[in-house]
Amino acid sequence: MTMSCPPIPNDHPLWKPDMVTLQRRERPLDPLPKPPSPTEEGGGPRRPDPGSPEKDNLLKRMRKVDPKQAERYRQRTGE
Amino acid sequence: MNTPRLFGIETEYGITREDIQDLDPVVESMELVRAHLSGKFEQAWDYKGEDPHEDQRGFRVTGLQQDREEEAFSKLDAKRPLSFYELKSDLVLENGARFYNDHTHPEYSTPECRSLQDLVAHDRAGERIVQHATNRRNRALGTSAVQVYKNNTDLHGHSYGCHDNYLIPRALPFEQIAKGLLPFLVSRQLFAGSGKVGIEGQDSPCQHGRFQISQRADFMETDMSVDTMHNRPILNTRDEPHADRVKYRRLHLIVGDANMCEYATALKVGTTRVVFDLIGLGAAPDLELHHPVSAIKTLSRDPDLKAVVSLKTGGTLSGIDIQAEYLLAAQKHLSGQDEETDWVLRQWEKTLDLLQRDRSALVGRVDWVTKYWLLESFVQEECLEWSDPWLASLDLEYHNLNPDRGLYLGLEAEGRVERLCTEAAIEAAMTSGPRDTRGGIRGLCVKHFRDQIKSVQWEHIQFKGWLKPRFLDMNDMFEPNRIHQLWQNIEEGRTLSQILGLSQDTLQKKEPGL
Repeated sequence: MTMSCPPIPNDHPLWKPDMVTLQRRERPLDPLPKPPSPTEEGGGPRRPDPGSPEKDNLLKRMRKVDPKQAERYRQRTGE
Repeated sequence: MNTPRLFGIETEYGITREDIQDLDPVVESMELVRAHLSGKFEQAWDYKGEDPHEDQRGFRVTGLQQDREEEAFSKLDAKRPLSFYELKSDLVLENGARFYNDHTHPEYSTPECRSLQDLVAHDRAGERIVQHATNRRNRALGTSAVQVYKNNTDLHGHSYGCHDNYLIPRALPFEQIAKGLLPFLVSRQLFAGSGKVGIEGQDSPCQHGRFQISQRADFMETDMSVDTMHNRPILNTRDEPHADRVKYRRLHLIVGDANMCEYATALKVGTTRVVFDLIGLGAAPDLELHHPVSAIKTLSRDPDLKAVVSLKTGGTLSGIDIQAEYLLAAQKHLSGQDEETDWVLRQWEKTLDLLQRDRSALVGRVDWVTKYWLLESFVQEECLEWSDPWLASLDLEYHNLNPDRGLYLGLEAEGRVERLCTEAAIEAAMTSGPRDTRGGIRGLCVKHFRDQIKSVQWEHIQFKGWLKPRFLDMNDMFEPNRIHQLWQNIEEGRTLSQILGLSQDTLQKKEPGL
């Protein structure tokens, strides 16, 4: 259900820099230690891509979601 | 206690087809699993050793609550032109994983892992394998209608699981495990929950309007039980060790949510393994919740993390307080034990701190925080009420494995989530098991001796080609150097006879008493 849009207060958490842009982490702060076994192929953390994320891309993806999708989604009970 | 550190994750995926209304989940799930195959399906999984009626508390139940329902479905399935084995379509993969149709859900069980690094890579490899099968199924149908979800509810009162499993010593009394583990499991959702819009119950529809931390908390009905589909327990007491029963237990935890965030997967399993270590030392916090089932729901329904739960001894604690008690005990008794434990302790502390101080820093690390952030942003952008059913659809889509649609995967594609393993590690895990566990050996046998395998179970492989079947017994195959030696022998191109002959000397091979 949509309604008229009230202005978002200036102190709303949405405006906090992290919440608006979700600043890219240039590198994981504390990578998982590699296993002691010889499974070293490709181990270690991945450095995120250096480009700047577009918040709108994700919102576009979210807007494409059919609002009725969950209503139709039915599963049988599992374990 | 010198028990090997070993864990694995089983994930039941949700599956739907958007081009038909009356989905037959049995057939769809089976067809999806079979889409993984290039050739014909050949039955290999050995069900004889499975018995979900054995209880860790030392008895065997005569029936499970789901038996009657299962029987009804079995009668329906008997009318299909397919055998039980064909419907299950159990596959054992070259990475040592199991991929099959379980209770109408495609289920992927990782091979046994010894490190969190491997576990995260194999959990992600499972997602990729399931999505590749989905793509192939869609191509065969000429549509893009099949979608698969790594979540735990249809938001209409039906839940399916993501189980984390741990090998622990049999010598550790189950009563001690249960007492030490329950308060931890009730509050683990604070960083391991995947978040959900609405509140539901077993077979009762979702009431929209509230966001909660966990997908599974609504479905918990008792503290402990051997059941898994009805009367769901916080602590499942199924006693199927899939290893030497005299020496080991397997704790089969069904309370957890399926995680999209690699960080949440690592922290969920890492902290749980640490708590088992604490229990083994007799150093778990002395906490006993007054009503664990109410507590898990209370904590889940309070994303502000202010709710408190009652202790049997009187007094109350918040979820953060409970976790902090476990963290303090672990820091006191387990710091410096090894690199991985220290990583878990650092991240555990940091996460509990950020949950209270700066939750936004956990976006991309903790699923419920990430989902809440996405939905909150959307509610603001689109001026929606929290009761709008659109949010339930977005909740579902967060878990979609389709990289063009999934919201989590969209965040990941933009580099906004914390990665703990590389794409190369995930790709490697799709075709090869851990080199230090029997899971890796299982996969290697599938790769090298596929035509000679008669059947497979977690704890053994049965080979054909001799007058009497021969077994590779993996009931107690946990010592890394032995595994490495066997791995080398197989990779060097030795014949199966040579391998089994060698294993008699080096691996204490014996025929399981089936």
